[in-house]
Amino acid sequence: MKILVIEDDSHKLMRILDIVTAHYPLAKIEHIDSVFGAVRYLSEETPDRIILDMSLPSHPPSVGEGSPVAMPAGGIEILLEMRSLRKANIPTIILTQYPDIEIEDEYYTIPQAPSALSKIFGLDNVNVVYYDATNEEWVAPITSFLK
Amino acid sequence: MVRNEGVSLFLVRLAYLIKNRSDAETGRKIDLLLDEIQVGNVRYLHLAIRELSSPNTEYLNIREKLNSANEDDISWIIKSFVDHIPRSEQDYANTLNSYFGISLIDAFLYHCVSERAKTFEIPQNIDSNLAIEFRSFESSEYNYSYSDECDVGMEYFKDSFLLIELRKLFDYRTSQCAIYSNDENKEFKRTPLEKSLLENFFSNHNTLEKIKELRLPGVIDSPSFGRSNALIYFLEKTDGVVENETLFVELMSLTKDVGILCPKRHLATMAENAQSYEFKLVIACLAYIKSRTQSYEHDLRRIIQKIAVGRFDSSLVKLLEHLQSISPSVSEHLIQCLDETFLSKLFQMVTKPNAAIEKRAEIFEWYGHLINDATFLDRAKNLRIDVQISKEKGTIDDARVYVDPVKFTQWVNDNLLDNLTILLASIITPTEPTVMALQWEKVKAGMTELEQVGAILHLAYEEFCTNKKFGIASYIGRRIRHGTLKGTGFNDIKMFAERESFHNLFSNHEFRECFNRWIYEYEELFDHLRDNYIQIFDKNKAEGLISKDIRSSFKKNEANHLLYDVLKSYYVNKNGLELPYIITEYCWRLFEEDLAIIRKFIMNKKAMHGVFLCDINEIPRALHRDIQDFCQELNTITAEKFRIIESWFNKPSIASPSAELALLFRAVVSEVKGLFGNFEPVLFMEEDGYVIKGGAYFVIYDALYILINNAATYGNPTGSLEFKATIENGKDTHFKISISSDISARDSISSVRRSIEASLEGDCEDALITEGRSGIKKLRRMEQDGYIRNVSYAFDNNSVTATFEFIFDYQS
Repeated sequence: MKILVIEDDSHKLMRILDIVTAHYPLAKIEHIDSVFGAVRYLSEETPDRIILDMSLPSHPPSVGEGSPVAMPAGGIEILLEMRSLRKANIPTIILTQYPDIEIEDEYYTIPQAPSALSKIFGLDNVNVVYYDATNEEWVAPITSFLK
Repeated sequence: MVRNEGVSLFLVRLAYLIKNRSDAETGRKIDLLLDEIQVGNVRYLHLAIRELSSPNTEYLNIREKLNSANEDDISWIIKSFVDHIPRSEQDYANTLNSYFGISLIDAFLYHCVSERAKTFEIPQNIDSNLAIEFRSFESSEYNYSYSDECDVGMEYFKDSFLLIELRKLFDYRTSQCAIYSNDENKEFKRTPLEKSLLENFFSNHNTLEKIKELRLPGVIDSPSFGRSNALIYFLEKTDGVVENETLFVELMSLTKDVGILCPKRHLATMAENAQSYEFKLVIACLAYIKSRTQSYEHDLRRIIQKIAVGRFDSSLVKLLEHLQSISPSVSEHLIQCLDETFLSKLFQMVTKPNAAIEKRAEIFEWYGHLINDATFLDRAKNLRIDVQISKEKGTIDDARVYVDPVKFTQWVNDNLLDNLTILLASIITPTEPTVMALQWEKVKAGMTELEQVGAILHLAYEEFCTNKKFGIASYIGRRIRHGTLKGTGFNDIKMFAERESFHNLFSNHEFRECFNRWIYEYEELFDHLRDNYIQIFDKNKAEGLISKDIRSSFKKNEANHLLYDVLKSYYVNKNGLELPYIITEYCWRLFEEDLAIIRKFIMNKKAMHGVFLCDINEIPRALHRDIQDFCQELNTITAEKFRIIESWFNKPSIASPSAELALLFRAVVSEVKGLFGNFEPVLFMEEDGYVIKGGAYFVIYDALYILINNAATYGNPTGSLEFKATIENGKDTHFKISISSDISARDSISSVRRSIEASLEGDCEDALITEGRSGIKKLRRMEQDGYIRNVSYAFDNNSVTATFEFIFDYQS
């Protein structure tokens, strides 16, 4: 199984990788930390699963190369790109540290977000889970998603 | 009017008609008259009349604002200004009653105008003599020669509101209002009268070719306004089907507001059937203008990239050039769209953030040459300087504080700009504005026009800070508090302490207790930072370090200069186009104080809680060395974490650029080294720490470039190059900047002196054309143009010192 993890927070990434490798030691894991990287990757590759952060930088920060644009809805951008590439059927889970998600200028709670994504963008294969670094409640939905 | 100590709204409308169509002197007299009759007693109505008829406001914006007013007596009147056709008997009755509350004549006139609409039966109980008088009045002619410089149709349309009683103006306004609105369902809400008038006006313009040649009945020659309405009517008739896509694209340069006026369903039809890529691009632009959603923005970016990559070798300039040849307005619209933020998200074409800035510079350069406007060339050059400085800084720019510049400027445009331009137009400034000090804590209650302008600017700053979608509050929340603050600051520390190699240490009770106390406070620190300190100050977050108020002397000073720059911009340009950008720039400057406070606070907290110390006296000696190693390593990690977190609270480099003077010097040296392979001077400079903001540093960069380029061209390429900068106070405060360089071994100092003195004399008018970017003549030209002053050269045995002064106005 090929799993794409799109995450720019190194701590959260480490936790995710720990969980994924513990439960799926044979999975091939690809890590990307920016919207640019994700868009480029998805134009050429098709993973089996995607674990996606919502708030991402436009580009990976790089010495002397200027300031990446902060994209609080960078995850949405990637989902829209997947839709354009006809890859919106790839099962995707948004793992966010924020209690709600902004979709077209409206805020939706974690439980409301999947149906909003389906209704507004036609994205039916997206689930949303709240990531709290202080507990393990997010682990079960992730492992279940990866099955 | 004065004698009667009161006036009808009808006469207020007439007063504005006279004011708008007269010279400035008459306009001032009208203003005085309105003051005298205390028109402020009907403040909201008066403002509505003023804004709907002002040549400086965007009609559709005002219309939307007025339409969303609460339902009370005044609002019925306001709504009748926007839509003079009563849609139901209840509407008519409510509005009539409201007018009765103002004056009998206004109620009478509203009744007479409503009767024409024939939406439903209106009771006829008007005195017959009055009715005769009205019919005589309504057939009067309104003849005014509009200037060729304005959009006649729009001006006439605004005037028609002021004299709606005249039949011809009523008919015109009724037909145009039925189309000129962003109501998605306007087509289905029309009365028979509106349908009939629309058909009369536009029946002869039922093809795109005829719309292009549009001439409306009567004297009204209305370029873009009339064509826009005709085009929307055409799309209604054809249900969004367009056969001549090329002509539609051309018409974008002869119409306006099509994106706002055209219903979504027609845009969707056009998108579905689009054949040519130019047409697809135009429809994507219109859809994005209509609905500024993530989805439409994504579609627009996708299509731009597809066309640029597929047809123009990934060159946006070539794409723009092509569009310019077909429809200049489309090209110009895209130039506005393609700002640095938008370009950064063209992921197929922009591989690094600075590439977005370089592309923007290319676009400005092309456009500046096209329209022969040096300001665009300057902007291009300045962007390239920013890229150079970024490379020279050699740092990773990971500022997490951000405000979405597009959404913020859009908010300013939609919510503040109209009021601001009206106020600015009414502030009489026969001479150039000067810096004035306002009492910023009290501007919101201020009565003078300056204070009202100040109140608007204050509001902009509040929104900049507090808006939860695009402001500081949004990004502080998402990228810092709920993002990685605690993770970055705390998680690694916890994991460090859990290492197996420290199990022995932690088996000691005293050490374990000491560490647990410390880690508890350390963790609490991040919880407090997140919950209490990195917040916008208000009564719920009384410890918030970010203040949306303008109270400190620093902020007041910045705000005074914001006011000055706004006044100056309007004084020069007489429009508000620059104002959102000036406001954004200054909001960042205001916010810099809070960023500095936060950085200092974080480092203070680090000093108080970020260092782990353990009293080893009660602990067995055998563990002392391990404890020392543990503490050293742990404190190194905490120092690094705090350094990283502190670096988040810097202004992002694309917002409100600034640079240290010494960095400018190093950036120029690097740029010149890139051009001259053998230029490897020995540098001497002091790190003065002077930070230059805004446009000033581009000027200094330019001057330094000339001098250092000359040193590379004519001097000793491996000799010394010394940079000095001092601040001098005298008649004014200024920088004195000097560059000393060694002369070439093959030259003598006297020959160098002669050569430089010769260059300093003579005509420098064409310095920009004949010498390009370098040359002492250009330096002289900069001096003559007032950018720098007191350019001088000194010569000693084997070196030349060039000196210039730069006065800093506040912007520096």
